[in-house]
Amino acid sequence: MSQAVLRDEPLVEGGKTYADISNDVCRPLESFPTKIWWVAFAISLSVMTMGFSLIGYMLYQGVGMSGIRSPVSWGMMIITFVFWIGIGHAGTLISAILFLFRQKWRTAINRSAEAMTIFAVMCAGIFPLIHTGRPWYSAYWLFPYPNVMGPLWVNFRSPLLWDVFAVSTYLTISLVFWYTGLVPDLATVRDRAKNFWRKKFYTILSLGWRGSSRGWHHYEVAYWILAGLSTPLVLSVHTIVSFDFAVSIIPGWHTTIFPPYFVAGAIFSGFAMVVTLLVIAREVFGLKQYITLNHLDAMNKIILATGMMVGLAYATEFFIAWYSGVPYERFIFIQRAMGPYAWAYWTMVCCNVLSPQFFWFRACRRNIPLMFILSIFVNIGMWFERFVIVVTSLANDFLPSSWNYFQLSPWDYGVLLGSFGMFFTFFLLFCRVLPTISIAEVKAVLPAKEGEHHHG
Amino acid sequence: MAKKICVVGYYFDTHAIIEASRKTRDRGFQKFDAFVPFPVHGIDEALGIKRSCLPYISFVAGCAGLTTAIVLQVWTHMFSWPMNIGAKPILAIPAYVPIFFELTVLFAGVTTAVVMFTKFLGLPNFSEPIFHPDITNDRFALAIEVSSEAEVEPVKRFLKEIYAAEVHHVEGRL
Repeated sequence: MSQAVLRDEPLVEGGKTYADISNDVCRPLESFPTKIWWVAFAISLSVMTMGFSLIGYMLYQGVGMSGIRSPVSWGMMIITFVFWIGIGHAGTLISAILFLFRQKWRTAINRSAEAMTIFAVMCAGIFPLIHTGRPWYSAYWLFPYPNVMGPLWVNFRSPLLWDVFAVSTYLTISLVFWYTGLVPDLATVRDRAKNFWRKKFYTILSLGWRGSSRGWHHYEVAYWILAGLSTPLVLSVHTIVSFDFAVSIIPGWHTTIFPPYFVAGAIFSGFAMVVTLLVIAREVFGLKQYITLNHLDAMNKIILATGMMVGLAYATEFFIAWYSGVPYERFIFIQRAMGPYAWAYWTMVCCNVLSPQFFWFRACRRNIPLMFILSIFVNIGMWFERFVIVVTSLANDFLPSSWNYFQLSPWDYGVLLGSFGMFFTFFLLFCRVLPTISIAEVKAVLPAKEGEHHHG
Repeated sequence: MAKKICVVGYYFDTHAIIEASRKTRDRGFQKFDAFVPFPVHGIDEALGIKRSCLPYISFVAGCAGLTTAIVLQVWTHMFSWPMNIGAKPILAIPAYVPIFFELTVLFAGVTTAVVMFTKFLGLPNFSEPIFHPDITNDRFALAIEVSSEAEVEPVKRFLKEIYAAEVHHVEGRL
C-alpha cells in the first residue's frame, strides 16, 4: 500500500546508527519527566479518579443512575464498550496483520499501538461489568465457574457469553504478544541502567534475555505464530461483538452485514486513535525521525480506506432495509436518518464518511494539525455510530406505547470521560516505563552497512 | 557441574558476525552461539541452527484448547445442566463455534509464548553471564564454550584469526 512512498524514503530518517536508536528510544525513560508530561498525567489521573468514584457511587445507588430506561436497556455502557473494543483493533492489525504482510513500516508504531490495544480493551472491559450492576457476581455470571449453587452454568448458546470469551482471549493474547515483543527491548533498557533498583526492575522484566541467536530463532518463530493467531483473533473479536446485535431479532440489528461492518469500523476508529496518540507522542518524546510523515501518511490511507468501507456499509444497510420489504426494518432505518436521533446519525455520517475524504490528497495526509483534528472527528463519529446502532433500534421497538427518547445522564458522561482518563493515564505511564518503539525491530529494518567488512 | 568458560569475540556489523559464525562452524566447534541485538538475517544458516519445532507444540496446544471447548460446552449443556432456552437445541453446534475458536487460539498462543521462553530459551535465568552490556545495543558477540582453562588460549587465537575486534573470556555457560 505504501510501497511507492517508502521505496524512495527511508523508514528511519537522519542516518541513525544502532546506538542512536537505543539512545533515542530510551531517552524518555531515563530522564526526569517533562512538565508537559506531568500536566497531562495529573489531568488524566484526576479524570480517571473521578470516573472510578462515579462508578463506585453508581454501583452503590444502582445502575438506574445511568440513562438506561426501558426500552433502551443498553445505554452508554454497551455503546462505550463497543467503542473501546473497536479502538483496540488497530493495534493488533498493526502488530499482527501488517507483520504477516511484511509491511516494514509497522516497526516504528507497533509497540505503542499494541499498548493502546491493551489499555483500550481494559477500558472496554469495565463497562459490561458496571452494566451488570453487581460486578462482584460476575465470576459465575460471566465465566463457566464450578460452584455449589446446584449445577449452575453459563449459557454457551448466548452471544453475550461468546463475547466474554472473545474479549478475555483477546486481552490475554494481546498481552502475551506485547510482552513477547518487549522482552529484548527490556534487556536493552536493563543493560543501559545505572541505578541499582532500576537495573533490578528491568532485569526481572526482561527475564535474563541475552540475545542468543539460537534464542532469537525460536523467538522469531514464536512471534510468527502469535501474529498468525492474532490475525483471525482480532477479526473474530469484533465479529463476535457484532453477534451481540446480529443474533438478536431486533430490526436494525438482525443483519448479516454486521461482522464485516463492525470489523471495518473497529480498524477505522483504532487507526484514528493511533494517529491521535502518535502525533502527540512523536512531538513530546522527540521521535519524529522514527515515526515519520510516511508512517502517518500510510495510516491516513488506511483511515480513508476503512472509512469508505464503513460508508459503504451504511449505504448497504439502507438498501437492504428497503429491499427486504420488511416494514419494521424500513421503519427503523427511516427513523435513523429522519427520526428523533437524526442529529446523531448525521453527526456519524459527517465524521466517518465525509471527514476522511480529505485524505485523498497527499498534502492533507501529511498535514499534522489537519490529521489530528480529523482523527478526533473520526473517534467522535465512531462513538456515535455505536450510539445510533444501539439506541435507534431499541428506543422505537415493536410497541409504540413503550417508545422512549434516550438521553445520557450526567453520570454517564462522567463515567465515559473517566474511561478516557484511564486510557490516557495508562498510556502516559507506558511512555515513561517501557520503550515506546520496538528497538530491536527498528534496528533490523535499518539498511545494513553494505561492503563494510571489518577485518581486525 | 563442571566449570565452563565462554570465550567471546566482538564484531560491529552484521556481515562480520555472519562470516565469523560460518567460520566457527566450519572449524568444527560444537558449543558456540552468536549474541546479537536483533535477529540478524542469514545468521541461522551460518550457525547451522535447525528449524524450531515450536509450531508443532502450538498445534498440539491448539488441539487441546479445541478439545477443552468441546468438552466444556457439550458436557455442561447435555449432561450437567440441560436447560431449554427459547426451545433452542441442547446440542447447538453452530452456537458453540465461537468458543471453539477462542479457546483454540487462547491455548495455542499462551502455550507458544510460555514454552518458547521457558523451554527453548531457558528463561527466566539470571545466573548466566551477560558478556557485554552493548550486546543489546550495537555489538555482535560470538561466544564459544570450552570446559577447561587450557582451551581458552587456542580459542582466543582462533577468534582473532576470524577478525574479532576484541576478545575476552568469562566463566559461565552459553
